[in-house]
This record gives sequence, C-alpha cells and structure tokens, in this order.
Amino acid sequence: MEKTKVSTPQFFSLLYLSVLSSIFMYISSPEITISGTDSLLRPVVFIAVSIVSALPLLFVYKKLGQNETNYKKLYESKFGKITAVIYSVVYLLGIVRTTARFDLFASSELFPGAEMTLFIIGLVAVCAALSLLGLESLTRAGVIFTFIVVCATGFVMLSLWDEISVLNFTPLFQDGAGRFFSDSILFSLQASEIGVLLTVLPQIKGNLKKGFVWWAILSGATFIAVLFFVVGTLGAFADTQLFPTYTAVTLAKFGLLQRMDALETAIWILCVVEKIALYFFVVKKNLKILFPKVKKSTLCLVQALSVCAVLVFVSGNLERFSFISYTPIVVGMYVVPVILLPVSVLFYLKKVKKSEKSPQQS
Amino acid sequence: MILKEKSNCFLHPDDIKSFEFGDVRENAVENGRLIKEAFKGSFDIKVKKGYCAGKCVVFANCDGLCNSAKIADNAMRPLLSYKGELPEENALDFMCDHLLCSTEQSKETDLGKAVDMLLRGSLLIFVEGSKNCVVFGVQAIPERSITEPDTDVQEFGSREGFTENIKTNLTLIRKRLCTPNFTIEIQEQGKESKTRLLLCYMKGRVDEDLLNAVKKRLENLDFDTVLGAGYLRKTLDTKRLSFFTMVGQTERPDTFAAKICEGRIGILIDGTPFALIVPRLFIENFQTLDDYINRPYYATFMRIVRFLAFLISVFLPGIFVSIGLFHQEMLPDDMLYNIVVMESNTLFTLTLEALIIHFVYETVREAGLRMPKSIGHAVSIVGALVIGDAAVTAGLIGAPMLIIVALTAICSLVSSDLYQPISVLRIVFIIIGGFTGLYGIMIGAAALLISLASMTDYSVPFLSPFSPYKKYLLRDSLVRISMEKLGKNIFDINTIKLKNKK
Repeated sequence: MEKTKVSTPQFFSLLYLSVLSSIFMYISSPEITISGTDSLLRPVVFIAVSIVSALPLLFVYKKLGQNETNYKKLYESKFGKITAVIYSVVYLLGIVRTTARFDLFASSELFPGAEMTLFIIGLVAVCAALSLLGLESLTRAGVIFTFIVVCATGFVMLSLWDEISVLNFTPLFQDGAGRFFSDSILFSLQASEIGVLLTVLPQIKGNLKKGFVWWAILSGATFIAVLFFVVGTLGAFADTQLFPTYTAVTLAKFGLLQRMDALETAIWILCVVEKIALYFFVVKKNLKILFPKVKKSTLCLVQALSVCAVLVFVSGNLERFSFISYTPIVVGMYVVPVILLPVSVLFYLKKVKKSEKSPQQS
Repeated sequence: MILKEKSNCFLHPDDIKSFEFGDVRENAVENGRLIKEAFKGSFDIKVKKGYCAGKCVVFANCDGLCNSAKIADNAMRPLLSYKGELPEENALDFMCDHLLCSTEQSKETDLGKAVDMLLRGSLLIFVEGSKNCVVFGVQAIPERSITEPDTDVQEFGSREGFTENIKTNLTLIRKRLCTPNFTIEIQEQGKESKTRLLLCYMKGRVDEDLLNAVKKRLENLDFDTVLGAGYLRKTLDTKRLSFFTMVGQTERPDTFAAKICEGRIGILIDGTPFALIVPRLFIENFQTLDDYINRPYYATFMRIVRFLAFLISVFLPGIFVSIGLFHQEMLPDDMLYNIVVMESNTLFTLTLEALIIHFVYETVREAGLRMPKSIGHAVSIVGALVIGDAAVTAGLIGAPMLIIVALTAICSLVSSDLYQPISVLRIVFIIIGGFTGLYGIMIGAAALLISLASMTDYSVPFLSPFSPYKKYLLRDSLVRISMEKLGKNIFDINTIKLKNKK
C-alpha cells in the first residue's frame, strides 16, 4: 500500500470508536456507580479532563509540528528509545486489558459458562494481522465503522425509548459533589487512547487541535446519550450488573427482532477490533524504534504471542482480571502516556534546544 | 530443478532457438528461401516468385490470415501484368507509388520484423536488388461478428460487444470517441505469442503518473505467451493476495469509452473480447451504464439493491447458521418454532448443511458453464428437482436452508464481477458463523473491510469516495443525482487520487 498521511477526521473517528468500546463494555464497580443522574454529567467532566490532560501532547505537537524528521531525531535519541519502551509496555498492557475485558464480557454475557480463550486468541491474531496493514487502512475503515456503529447504536437506543422510566432519574449529587467529581475523573481516565497521539503524530495531517476538541465533545455527547438510556431504563439496577450497557440493550426489541443484544454486541465488536488493532500498531511502531532491523511482521507476531500468553493466564480468572483493572493501574495507564511522557518530551526538547544554543554562544 | 532436466516428453526451453533473419537481402529469392526454411513444414506459409517488367519479385504470405482476392487484385495482377519499364534505382518505390493499390503499405528493412507482420496477415513483397521489402496490408483474419456481450448485459445500452479482433475493437471505440485526444499506444507482450496490446487513454484527462505506472508494470511483464486478459491482471494489480481487484474488465465498448473519458487507462488485448481498465473502485461493481439512462431515483434504487444483494450473498448464509446455532433468541417464537421443526428432521448440523448445499450449487453452476449446451436442461432438472426438492423430502437438508441458499445464489449473480470473491467469502463466513456465531462474523467482516480499505493502487483508494470521504463524488456513488446536476464531467478519477505521498 502506498503510504500517505491520514486526515484528522479519519484519525479521530478511530479514537472515537476506541472510546465507544470502553463505554459499551463499561464494568460497574463500587468505585464508580452508574445508576444516578449524576452519571449524565460525567461526560462534561470527561471533556474537560481530556482537553486539559492533552495539553502537554498538544504542546509537543506545537513544537515538533507534523515534520517527520523532527520525530525521527527524537526517536533516535536515547531518551526517545526509553519513551518507546514505556509506550510499548503501556499499550501492550492496554491490549491485554481490552481483550481480557472482552473475554470477561463474552464469557459472562454472550456465552455464559463457555470457554472463550480460543475465540479471544483468534481475535488477537486477527487484530495483530490487521495492524500490519497500517494506520491508513485502520482509519479509513474506522470512518465506515463509525457510521455503522453510530447508526446501529442510535437505532437500538431509540428502540429502548418505551422502557425509560422517569423515576430512574434521581436528584443530582445525591452522594455529594466530591463523590461526583472523583467518580467522573476515574471515569474519564478510562480513555487512555489519547496517548497514542505522540506515536502517530507525524502520520496525521490537518488541524489536530480542532479535531481533538471535536473528538472530545462528540465522545462526551455519545456518553451522555448512552448513559441517558442506561440510567433511564435500568435505574439503580444498573449498579448490580457487571456490564450495565449490555443489560440495557437486552431490553431493546423492534418489530420482528425480539432481542437486539446479539446484533448490537456484534456491532460493538467493530470498535473492539479497531481499538486492539490500533494498539498493536502503536506498539509495533515503538518496537520498530527499538529494533529497526527486525521485520514488522516478526514484531507483530512477538506482540501477539506475548499478549496471548498473558491472556491465557488471565482468561476465566476474575481475580487476575481485577488486578489489571485495579484503579492505580488504570490511572497509571492514562497518566503515563497522556501526561508524563509528553511533559518529559517537552523538557527533553527544551534541553536539546539549550545545548544547541550554548555552543553557538561560546 | 525438475523443470530444467531434459525429458523425452517435453521440449526443453534451451532447445527452442529463435530463427535469426537479419536484414532483408538484395536477392529476392534468398529472402523467400529464408522464410521457407524458417517455417519448414508449415503448409500455410506461401512463397511465390514472379516477374515485374523483367525484375524478379517474391511474394510471401500466410494463407488463412490474408484475403486471397485482395492479394491477386491489388498486388499480384498490377505487378505481374505491368509491361512498362522500371527505373534502375528505386524500383520498389516506383512499385509502391504507381502499381500497388492499398492504403496500408509500408517498407521494412528488418526481415525478422517483416516476418512478424507476415504472421499478422500482411503480404511481403521482395524485389530483386532492393534492401527493403513492402509490407502490404491484406489481412483477413477470421473473426466472430459483433454480438451483444454475454457477461455484461445492459437493458438500454448498445448491443455491441468486443470481439477477439483488436482492430475491430478499436474501431468500436473510435466510433464513440471522435476526438484527437483519444490516444492509442501499441505494445507487444509475450516472447512467443507477441500479443498486441493497445494502451488507450484520453490525452489531457489521464494522469501522467498513472500512465507511467501502467507502462512500467507492463514493461516488467515476463511471459512467453499472453493469451488473455488474466495474464496482465496479475501485473497490473498490486495486492495479488486480496479477494478483490482494482483492475476492471469489460466486454462493452461503451463502458470502455466511458471509463477512458473519466481519466482511466484502458487496455485492449488481441485475441480476447475482454478489455482491462485501471484503476477500478469498489463502488463501480454496483454501477452500470443503464444507471445513466434510467431516471435518477430508479438508478439510485437499483444501486442500493445491488449493494444489498452483495451483502446478502456474502453474509446471509453465515448469519443464518450463526443465528440458528448461537442466537436463537433474536427470532420471533413462531418463526423459530417453524425453523426448528423443519431443521429437526435433517441429518446434518446447520453449518454442514450450508456447506454441502453450497458445494452442490457451485458444482451445478460449474457443470452448467462447462458442459455442452445441448445437455444443459438435464443438469437444470437434476439440480432443481433431484437435489432441491428430493433432498428436502428425504430429510437430507432443511427447507429454510434451501431458501437461504437459493436467495444467496440469485443475489450473487447481481454483480457478476464480484462473483469470485462472493463465492469464496460466503463459505468462509459460513464456517466462521458455525464456530463462533455473529461475533466471529463481525470480526471477519471487520477484517474484510480493513483489508479493502488498505487497497490503494496507482494512488487511488479502492473504497473512495466513502473512505477517504469525498463529499463531491458521493453524488454519483450509491446515489446518482440528475445528469444536469452531475455537470459536464460525470466523474474524474484524478479527483480521488492521493496527493500527499511521502
């Protein structure tokens, strides 16, 4: 395939799908409840957190622009290689977390009691292979997937309209504003995919800032819509469900179709495939910085095998799964790639600039 | 290694030595002798000696490829009956200018090239004392008459289709594109077959990069024989492992002309009625020339129908199998009950049933295609009655599955160009659906779509104008707006070309 840059809307449609997969397979926990009307306001905090936390990334973008040579210089330095190692680890963990969550979803909701490990390994293999087709392929397909997913979700959600009960909408801030903010921030930190930007920046063309703000707003709006239907149909019952969004969807029916959960879940899988393939692509790109002579296919194979090895260990074991979903790990997976690494890149760039200036002055 | 070993049964490549002709000799008889020697034993190569005003003249032609009456009337009679005087020098030029009657005549100094022309139906005339020979156009290559193409049928379009004769095909296009901008470049491919290709494009509309890329790929072609369009397809396509292709094929001169006007490159190949067009987009599989004759609302409706038929033909059997095995809750109770009752009497699982019926269908189709037409009805009866009705009555297969397969089969014939990928993908999705349900099918569908999105040839993305999104071009994609609104240029392939190459 001829290599070209991807446009900002194409790239952010891919990130949008990635974020949607998180909300669709959202796991309710004692830390973050979903039942109250408060949860409808969480996406507003999500938008604010996303925009504020992405500022370092946007500063890096401002400094380096879209010039590939600037990034090449960065990657070739020792610092760049350390960054690549950290990114690889974080996003490999991201792949494991996403697939393990899907594994839990499949074995608890889709085919209860069934052994899903082989299915999940198949999914990992497909996504690893797809990542080899490049970011451009993923983003192009992402635009079409976004259209399909939005239409299907809109249709399913609207068919839930009759199931909504006004009584399920509780007064705001019942548990206090503090709880609301802590829940909202934890909720926002699920979207660690923004961090991939630093790796793929040289491949994107167009107005990144505008695209990013639109992505945050549209993702927030979609969250509000989905949560509206989840809260409206399930109420407090949502907190007792492992996957509340899925439970809400099981109530949807339209004409001939008695239940649309299978159909909707099938559509959600498009989001999961795109998210995992994107992560594989990002890890592959970082590994290529570390091992420039190794073939891309070999790197992907190594990634897929290591992810599968961990998945076999995690699959079907709720304790091990809860370890990788442990709040500090979730927070770390957001803070490291989205805030810490871009900030350190900014410091590094400043240092390099200083050292370039000082010999000239002397 | 095995191929290189000499065997008694096969001719080893090293044994084939090309005959070196060299230049045309001044001795006309010697030229005739060389040709006879090169084609030793070939009774269709005729060499005849005669005298024109006392000068020895040798005629050589390939019987069957030439019009004998034309040879006699326009070449032999004027020369052999000439009683006047020939100039001492330039006798050949005098003959060309005053005696021979043809619009198609040229001179050739290379005997090898002249012999190539002889094999294409020309008459060669050697004159004693001249280092040139006359290549005289008297071709009468047997050809099929122009008929309506079988593979590319239009309701309201022209009834003309390409034939196996490249000249006739070119005439059919010239008739439609009466402009000096329509450019043709001739090439020869195949070391042994020396098949002529015509590279056709519209000057000013075709992209230079596209033209150079096509030429470069054709230059790299390394075949001994080129006997059909398929030989070139492999070279013109980058993604050879994909189910889909970005090289279009047509039997219709009107479609060919329309595509050339859109800035594409067409390739006519001698000996086949199928012409190639590059590049081709995915959406074009659902567009026909009739769409531009029909009313816009109907054209749009039919395009959507064709696209849905494609989706049904690929996914329906797989989805039916997966719903039947994994997601029964999706169906209404009454429908589910009926299906369960009918399927409970059968021997095989739904997956196996679907695979068996598809295998039978593909076999019947292949038999229908290859067998003599006179026994075609027998196969139809066996297919419809024995395999269809009797298999259901005997409890080998369920009626719902038969209905699904029949529907799928009909839908797969709507876009004939996509039949090959459809037939294989359908089987793949039945297997995936049978083992993993709807979720597996969706993973497969995602993989298929991403792989389609990765297809970019000649800087043109296969899924354009949907992704990358081109709003302007959507007006003639699945939807077609009125011809007035489409404007002067209906479509231009250059507008979807990716410009930001690294």
